[in-house]
Amino acid sequence: MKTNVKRLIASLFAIVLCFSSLASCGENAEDSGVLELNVYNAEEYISEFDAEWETFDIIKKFEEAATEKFGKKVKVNYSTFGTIENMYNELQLTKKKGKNGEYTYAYDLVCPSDYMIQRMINENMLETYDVAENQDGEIVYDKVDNYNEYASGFIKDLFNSKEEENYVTGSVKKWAEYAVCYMWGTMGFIYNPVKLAETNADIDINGLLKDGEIALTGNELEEYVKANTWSLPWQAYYKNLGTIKDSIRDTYALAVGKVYGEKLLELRRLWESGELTHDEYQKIIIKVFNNVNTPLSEEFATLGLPTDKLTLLAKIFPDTETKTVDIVSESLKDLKYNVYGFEVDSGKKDMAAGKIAINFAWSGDAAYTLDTADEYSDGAQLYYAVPKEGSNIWFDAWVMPKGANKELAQFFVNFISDPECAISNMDYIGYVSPISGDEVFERLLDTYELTTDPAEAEENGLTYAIDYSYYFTNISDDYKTEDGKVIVYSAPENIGRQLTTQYPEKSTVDRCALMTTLSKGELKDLNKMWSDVKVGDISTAFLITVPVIIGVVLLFFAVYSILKKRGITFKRKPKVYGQLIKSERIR
Amino acid sequence: MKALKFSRKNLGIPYAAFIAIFVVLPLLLIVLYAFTVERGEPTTNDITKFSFSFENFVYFFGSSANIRAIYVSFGLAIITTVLCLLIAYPVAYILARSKMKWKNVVLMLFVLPMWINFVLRTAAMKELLFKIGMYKSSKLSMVNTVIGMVYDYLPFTILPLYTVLIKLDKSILEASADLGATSAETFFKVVIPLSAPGIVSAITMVLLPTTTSYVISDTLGNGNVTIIGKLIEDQFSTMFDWHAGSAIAMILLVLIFLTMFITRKFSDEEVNTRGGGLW
Repeated sequence: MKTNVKRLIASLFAIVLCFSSLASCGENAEDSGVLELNVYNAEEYISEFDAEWETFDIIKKFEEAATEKFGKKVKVNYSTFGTIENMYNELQLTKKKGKNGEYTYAYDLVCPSDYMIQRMINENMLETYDVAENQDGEIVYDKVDNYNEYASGFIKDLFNSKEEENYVTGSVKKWAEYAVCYMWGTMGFIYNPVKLAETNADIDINGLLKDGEIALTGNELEEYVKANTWSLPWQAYYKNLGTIKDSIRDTYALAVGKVYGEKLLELRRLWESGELTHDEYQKIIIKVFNNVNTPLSEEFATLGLPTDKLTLLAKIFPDTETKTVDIVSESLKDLKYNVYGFEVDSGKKDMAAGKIAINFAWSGDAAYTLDTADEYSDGAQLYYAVPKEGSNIWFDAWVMPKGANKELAQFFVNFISDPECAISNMDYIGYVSPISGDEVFERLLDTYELTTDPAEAEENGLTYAIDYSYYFTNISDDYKTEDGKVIVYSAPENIGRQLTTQYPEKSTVDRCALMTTLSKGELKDLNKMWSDVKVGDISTAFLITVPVIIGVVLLFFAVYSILKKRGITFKRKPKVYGQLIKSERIR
Repeated sequence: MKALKFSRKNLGIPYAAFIAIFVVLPLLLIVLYAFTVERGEPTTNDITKFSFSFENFVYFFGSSANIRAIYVSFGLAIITTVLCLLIAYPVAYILARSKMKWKNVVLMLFVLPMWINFVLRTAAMKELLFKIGMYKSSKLSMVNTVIGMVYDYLPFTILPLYTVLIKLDKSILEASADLGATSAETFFKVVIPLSAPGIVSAITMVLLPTTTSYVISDTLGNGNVTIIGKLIEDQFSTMFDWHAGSAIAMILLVLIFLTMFITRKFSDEEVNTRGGGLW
């Protein structure tokens, strides 16, 4: 017996040793003259080689460039995740406690979204980039020159305008110090105007179509089929035509947009009439979209607004006992029975195939879906609209978890911020990179057959002028007007389609707010609401009856078996099977 | 010096180690997480910061949504199992009794779907159901889910039943007829009790996986059918609350053990050791 135990212990040790030697294999790699960079990115989120799209393999190119620069062989260990929540869990699982009590993580470079970056900063998970501040107080990267030079001023401002506290060390730093933007976009609806007009009896389809083609564009079209509002999927006349995301955060934002629709419009009117500055308006809608269980008046009080504006806000959002999460819960329960379903990825396909007509989506997915539908021979003509009540702006950015190889990681970010790489990425993934130099601008003009020349525009019937001054801040003067503006002329058909999906107009992004991270308590409330909505209703009577019946049956069996053990049996009457002669064989 | 002895018992050591590392240890971890919480932000998942608490269980039973999810899961599982048995039993019985030349081929055709990736099968089933108009209303989500689950788990029901029925001694059936039972009586009083081990295996193979396989309910139910497995996933992925997730997993485990226990109890009384259980 004793030897057996010893043997068991010995073999256990052997197995543990095996595992640990396997695990240490990876760590010794640096000594052998190979530099490794562990990159962790979302699935299908980097350019690979494709002859047809003329894209190239970024990882491979980077390895070549880096090997040359560092004089050592550089190898990228590229791994992918399905959702950012999975990414966060993976980081937590692979972290190690260092000597100074700080954790280090197994990856050098990760690409999460806005609210997750915020969370990671809060939790002291991130390294800062090597930066300096220029005279305007803007962050300039020491080792990411391409981003300094080519990134759009709009995105840079966004990253410079937000500060975040590290809860562990207490330091407050700008987002730009932790993160370099990789892709960005808005949130809205993909819709199929023809199908919507056919379904809704109130819409005259003849006003929409001319010779079988959609005659309206842009805002006019959105208004005509009433697609530019959060309440779109709730409309009874669009029953079973829409899908929403099977993810708490996204669908919560959607529902907040619906339940506070009127109030958000009122806020927008206040901003447009100048009673609120744009900055204040942005801060307020961020608070509204991310409100869960605290009264809004308390949230507004933290913004540092003057008293007259606070009273104005109090008028729009009067204090009530009901929490936002409860109102949302009610409205989501209604929504559940009006939509085709919840989806994560199938919505793109269903939309392009014409199974559904409304899909709540991120702009990157929207551009992809619109493209797919165009490629189908019988595909529908789809459009994308950002709700007029205001919406979310999102971004994914490169961050370095603690313990990263900063030198190599920053070189990678610099490499991927090169316009050539950015274009290859955009062509391959369909999302929009913040890199906005001349090359990117030329690509935009080429792709959508736009022009910056008014005379040429008139000649070709490009009647719609879009002001991109806010976004293309760093293109050469040849493309700018005399007063330094970037005006682009487009065919009206482009509006509301891929062009404005990828590069929204200024008026659209102005009413978009960032998603922020939620506290533990808020997440708990949110999750409770979500499972309540998702599981659906079962009557209380039924909930109680079933365990009672099961209990009674079990009790009966228990009593029966106890009686049987004690020798008390219930005699059954012997059954008479008839006479033997009934059997056919004997007969 | 004694010669190094190697008894046959020692061959079991790798399996014992395997069970210890991959079954017992994870279970212990689940129990550890289920009965602890971590207070304070940020979450570190550092074991030294855990404190013992029943909070996770209080939270679970405090919300009726979780209880409803259990009902939905088990309701779905029971309906699926009953339908599977109703469809599979006649098939297995006919195949086992027939003298058809091609019966192995027919059996293989029934089992064949098992060899195709089940995510693919589920997606294909969705297309089919869409074509025949099963997605006109979200109220049909439950029906679609049941259809998908029955389709996916039917092979798992047919196989154990067939294995037991094919071993059934024909002379027993003849004896039953000799003693005056009609064929219906023979079926219900002789064949079914004798195939009880097969039925129990089939139930184990279907009832338990269906309570948690949320991929099917998510795909075919368009997200309108939420079962307990999905709630566990939500706790881990969106909430980052491993403690609450482990607690739900533990509750599910207990419920499954109870179901197993009851099924065994019922079958024990009737099972004849002949034929034997497949699993």
